[in-house]
Amino acid sequence: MAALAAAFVPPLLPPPPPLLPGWPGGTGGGVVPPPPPAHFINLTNGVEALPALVPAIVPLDAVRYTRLQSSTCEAGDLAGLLLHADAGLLMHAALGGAVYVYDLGSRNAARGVPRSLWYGLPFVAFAANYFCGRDGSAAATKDDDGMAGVPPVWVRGLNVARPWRDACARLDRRAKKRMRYYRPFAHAMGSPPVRLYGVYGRATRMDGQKGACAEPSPLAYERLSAATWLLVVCFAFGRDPSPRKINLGVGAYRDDDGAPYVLPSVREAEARVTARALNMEYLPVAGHAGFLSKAMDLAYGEGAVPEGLASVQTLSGTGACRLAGDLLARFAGGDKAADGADGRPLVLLPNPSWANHAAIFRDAGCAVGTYTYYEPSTKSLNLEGMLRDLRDAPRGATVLLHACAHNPTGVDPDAEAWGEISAAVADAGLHPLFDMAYQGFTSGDPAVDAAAVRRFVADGHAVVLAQSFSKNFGLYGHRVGALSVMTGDAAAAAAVSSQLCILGRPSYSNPPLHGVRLVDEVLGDAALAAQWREEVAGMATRIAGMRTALVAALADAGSTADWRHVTDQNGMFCYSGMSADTVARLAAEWSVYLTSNGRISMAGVTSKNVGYLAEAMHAVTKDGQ
Amino acid sequence: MATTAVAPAKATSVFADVPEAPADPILGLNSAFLADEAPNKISLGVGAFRTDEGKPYVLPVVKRVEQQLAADPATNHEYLPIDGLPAFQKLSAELILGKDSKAMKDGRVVTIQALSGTGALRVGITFLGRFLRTSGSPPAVYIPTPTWSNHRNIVPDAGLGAARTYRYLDAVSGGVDLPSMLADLSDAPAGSVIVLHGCAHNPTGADPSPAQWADILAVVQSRRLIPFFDNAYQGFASGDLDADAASVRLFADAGIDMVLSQSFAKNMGLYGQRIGALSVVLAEGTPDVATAAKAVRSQLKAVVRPMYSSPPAHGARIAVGVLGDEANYAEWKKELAGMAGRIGDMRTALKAALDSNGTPGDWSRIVNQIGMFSYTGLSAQQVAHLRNKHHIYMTSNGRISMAGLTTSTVQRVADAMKDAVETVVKQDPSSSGVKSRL
Repeated sequence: MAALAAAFVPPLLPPPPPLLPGWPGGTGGGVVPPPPPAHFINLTNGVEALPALVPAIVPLDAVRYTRLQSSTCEAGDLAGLLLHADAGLLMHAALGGAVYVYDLGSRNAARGVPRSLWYGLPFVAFAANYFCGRDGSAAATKDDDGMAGVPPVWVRGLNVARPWRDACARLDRRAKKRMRYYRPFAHAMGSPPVRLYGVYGRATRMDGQKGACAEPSPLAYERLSAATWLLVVCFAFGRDPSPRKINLGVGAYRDDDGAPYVLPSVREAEARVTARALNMEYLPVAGHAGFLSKAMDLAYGEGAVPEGLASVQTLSGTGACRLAGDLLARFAGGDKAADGADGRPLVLLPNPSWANHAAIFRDAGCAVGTYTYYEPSTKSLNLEGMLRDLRDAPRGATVLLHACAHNPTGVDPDAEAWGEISAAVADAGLHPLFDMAYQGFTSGDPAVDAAAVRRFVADGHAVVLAQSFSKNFGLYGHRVGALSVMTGDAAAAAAVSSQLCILGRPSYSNPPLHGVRLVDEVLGDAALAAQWREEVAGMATRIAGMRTALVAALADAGSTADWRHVTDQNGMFCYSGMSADTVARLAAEWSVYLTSNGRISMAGVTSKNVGYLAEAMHAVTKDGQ
Repeated sequence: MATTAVAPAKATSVFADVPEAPADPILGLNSAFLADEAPNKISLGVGAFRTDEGKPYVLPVVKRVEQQLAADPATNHEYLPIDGLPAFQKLSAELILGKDSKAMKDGRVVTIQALSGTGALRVGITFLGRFLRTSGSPPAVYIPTPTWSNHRNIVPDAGLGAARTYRYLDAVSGGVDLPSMLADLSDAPAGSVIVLHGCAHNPTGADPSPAQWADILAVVQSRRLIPFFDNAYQGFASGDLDADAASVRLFADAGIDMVLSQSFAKNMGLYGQRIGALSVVLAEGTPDVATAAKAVRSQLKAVVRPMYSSPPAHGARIAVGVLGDEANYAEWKKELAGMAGRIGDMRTALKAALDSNGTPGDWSRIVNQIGMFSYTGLSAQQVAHLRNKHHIYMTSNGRISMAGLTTSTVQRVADAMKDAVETVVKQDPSSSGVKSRL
């Protein structure tokens, strides 16, 4: 029995992350060390872990028990979680001891991680930090709801820091009182970080059998020994005390110090615009005329803006895609719609695509389909499959194409492939809709990144184009974008413009002012525009440099795997090909956080952390992940 | 040269035969005004505040907060959360519901940042269409006649079919036709959504009195209707933020389900920044409010994410800078009172000028009405006469934007109105598009 258990003990207990200097037990020289790790079985299904734990890891009389019920989690009963959490668990956590909570129960075999561990335990950890941790003093008095500087807490790819903080502030008195009880103990220990770890294996057929604690069946052993035991990190990025932690989940550019970046050209434009003390009157429904004309020049090329182009300012790329979908739903449905789409216009998305695309077009009233795009085995474009799907698509359908830096894969067609795609789109009688979220940000040259769009225009397509200025101008929160529609002639363009305004008016009346003034100022001043081009090239260069550096560092770390796709891919993201389990190990063992589809935000990689990242990636992939 | 093997024939746009939409009447008015070359032309059409010099106005406190933001090296341009700036959500809800709001203390208020009033209405009505199920179908949405023209567009675009209407204006007195309004609300199916203007009804400027609001609340409660308060003028109407929120707070105190939209376009002069809020207030008897509120927020975000992902940051930061700072807030209240005071002065001056120049008719409605607009009762023909002969522009329903008047133009406007009333004999009150029961 012990031998079987020992076979999987090493991966079972990665060492707890080191304590930061200054905490007792850390290198700062505290007097009282935190207690040794404690092991809690989560009732009921955690009992299956008993045979694995005892006696190899912990004697039976040292095993403790708690109840974090999945039903409580499912009900979102956060107060209930805190009220049921074992007092010993909370006290141990408050004293800074590492706590391991074991569970094998999960009715969802595909996702693997029991809800008690991916949802329940992280919340308990969050609440313990909130009420007992260093930042607990604010919570103990009054919730100021300022939220500034609150670090993100990732659960299943969602940042829950804010809702959980709100939830803690709104807990009923009993739950608050219970949690605050442990605060003086934590303070006495110097407010160590709360360290709760969930440990799980795959769901077994023993689920729900309480007898498993006394009479473990051979089946349970088999499952346990075969399972990859994984650690759920319960103090995700923002709470992770590791000084080496890396957040690769963000979708915004970061500089080489990992800090948000305001382009100096944009800052200069903002200073100028503010100094002019302009009014804040409504923009026309169609938006800022000066901005629009500059945006069209940027996309199609100065002097090359197509005749008969209808263009309107939008709420960045999302707003542009939505408006395009609204226009399609109003004017390209009914008897124009493709077969089988219930009279709705059909929009085809690449597989995969930006997660929001499907919802945008569905909410607009379009039918949504997909076409083959990414090939996981080669981590590159499946051009043959893509062309086949486009040629087989119903005539009159709209095909959404990522103009550059495909999100999330970073895989773009090359010039030759774009030519074949253009021909297939024409042959199949499809309408191209480009989403261009990364112009200039991808290659460093706005003209190069717009090549696919311009190629389609030259080939005679009636292009519809969604532009975002979030990434290339760093104007994320200002919602700057544009939608343009090639209609053929001036009269048709005026008609389409008028209808876009009719759609925009009951949605937001008129678009926001601040961001477009900044873009208009930057692009309207030759010197500032030149500076912006250098800065956007600088961002692209830094990211490309990090791709190269990562591949080199992986080789240095001893990885023999093929990482060429890291440099072959473009833009903000790298679709690493790492599995969800590997991603979980990166978080648990290395404090490296990325989305569970293995997508790395290259903007989060810096010259300071790339070596550590490579070491981590190699460690979790060397056994063939 | 590019090496395109075959240059395909020009593809036809899927939108090639889209018909041109009819021009927006208000925007058309503005184009006509701009095209008029008369040096003494006057526009009374715009829905934005103007100074007594006829100039757009940026509130000094807003200007200062904006300069501080621009000068602060810590200001970045990162995305806001889908539901907007949290500090803004809280301050905005407190502004309309009151700092000691019981609903907020109970955790019954879910507030998200929105694209000003329009965006709040659109997201709110879309949400109600998805989740307010009274008899298996989306609820009917009732809007007053007349009302802000965009209300009529928002309801069908949110997927709820054509808006229904309830009678509101007494065309003869220029006040609220309460009996007709209550009769129409009583006929509305239970669970219907009733759009109410919190204060400064647009376009009539006619608001119910406190006693009338209590009568409206009684019908709303007995018919189990869902009030949707559109608050575009809080503080701008009377100059007092609390007085202008009295209708909303009366309904909130009743502990019923309700929805609120707020705009900071007029009261902070943030028109182009698109800053507003949407609040869903859950009824007092809601079991497990925390869970329900969480679910509501998640569904509001599910509406927003595929519409525009996240709201614009600039206006929200300015609003927080004003609302969240004691000194700035005090200054803003003074500036608000100043704007409302100027509008009030113009009402008094116009009424006095009409009385003293002997314009036929009773013009007390001009001082009885409140907010940006006055519904003069002038017919479409009289409006056309003002425009053609006197170069004075207003919407064809006879609505005057009081902010468009200045000390130096009020006499000329009054004299022109006298000419219009005496020259163009009014045929019938309904010719102005307003139905009267009389």
